Amino acid sequence: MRFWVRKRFWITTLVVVLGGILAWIDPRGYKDQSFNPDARAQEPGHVLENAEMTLFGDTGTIQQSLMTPRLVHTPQTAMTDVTSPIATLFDSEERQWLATAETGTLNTDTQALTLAGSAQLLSPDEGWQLNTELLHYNGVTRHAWSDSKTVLQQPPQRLDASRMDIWLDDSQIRLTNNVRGTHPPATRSP
Amino acid sequence: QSQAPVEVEADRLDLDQRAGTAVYSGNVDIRQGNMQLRGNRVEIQRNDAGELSRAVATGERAYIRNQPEGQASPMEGWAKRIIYHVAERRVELIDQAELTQQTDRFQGGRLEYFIDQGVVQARSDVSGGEPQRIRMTLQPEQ
Repeated sequence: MRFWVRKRFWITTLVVVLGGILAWIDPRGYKDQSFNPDARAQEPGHVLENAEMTLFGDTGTIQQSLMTPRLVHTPQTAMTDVTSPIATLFDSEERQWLATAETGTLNTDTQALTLAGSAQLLSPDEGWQLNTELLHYNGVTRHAWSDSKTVLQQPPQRLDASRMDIWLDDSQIRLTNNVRGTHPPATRSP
Repeated sequence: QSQAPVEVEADRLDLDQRAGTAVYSGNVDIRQGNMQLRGNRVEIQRNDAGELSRAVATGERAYIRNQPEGQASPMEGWAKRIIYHVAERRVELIDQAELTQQTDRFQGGRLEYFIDQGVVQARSDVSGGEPQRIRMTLQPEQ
């Protein structure tokens, strides 16, 4: 008889101890599940197909526009990610410079545009075309630059360099580092 | 030779599309066939067809070299300013100009060299500067 009483006592003790451990673990688990504001900011706010987006400056003048088959905008970070963008950049005289690439990101607060993957920029009047892998553009200062290998073609001449800067308003281009130029010679005197 | 493209290497190029200027700077090295032109700064001009019509090289002393076919030693020239007229294949060396052609040597304010004929013309006047006397050292035929 005494054996059964002792056995029942130990079983009861075991159940109480296990219950205590479970109670101790469970509340701890609940705190980890608390709400994470950072994760919320990464979530895209708008996803648009075949979209056109236009940015205006403080004075209402058009600064840049983007056409894209797919646009993902995240309001909290003011970042817009676009696929196969066709960007039109407007200079101070509202001449239109055309830029394309495989992908792009635009910060709608700072007007910073980055075009990546076979990026190309076409000048409006001077008939030249620039190719590079990664093209940056500051929509406020209207300055485009690239730190990757750049090819500038203005047929019949071709220019290569490791870095490029373009100031749209002045139509000034600067190539630096390993600059190579190929120019066909004039054959008839003026 | 004259149809060969003009190849340029430099540290930097500044293009001003509005003014139509293109300036190479920093270790500028220009080659066309057997001709080579070097300077710290070279401004190039293009004609309406976009072809290179003129290159103006300046530097402490710009340098030009041309290795005519069939000649053992090259023509070499130095000057504060060297202007290469591409279509005419004519070179002007201006201010502290010096040119050596095989064993002959020319110095003066302004030298003109016709690449394809190998002809040298010398003048003393330098626009905007003091005239610089012409000196020639011609080696007699052996």
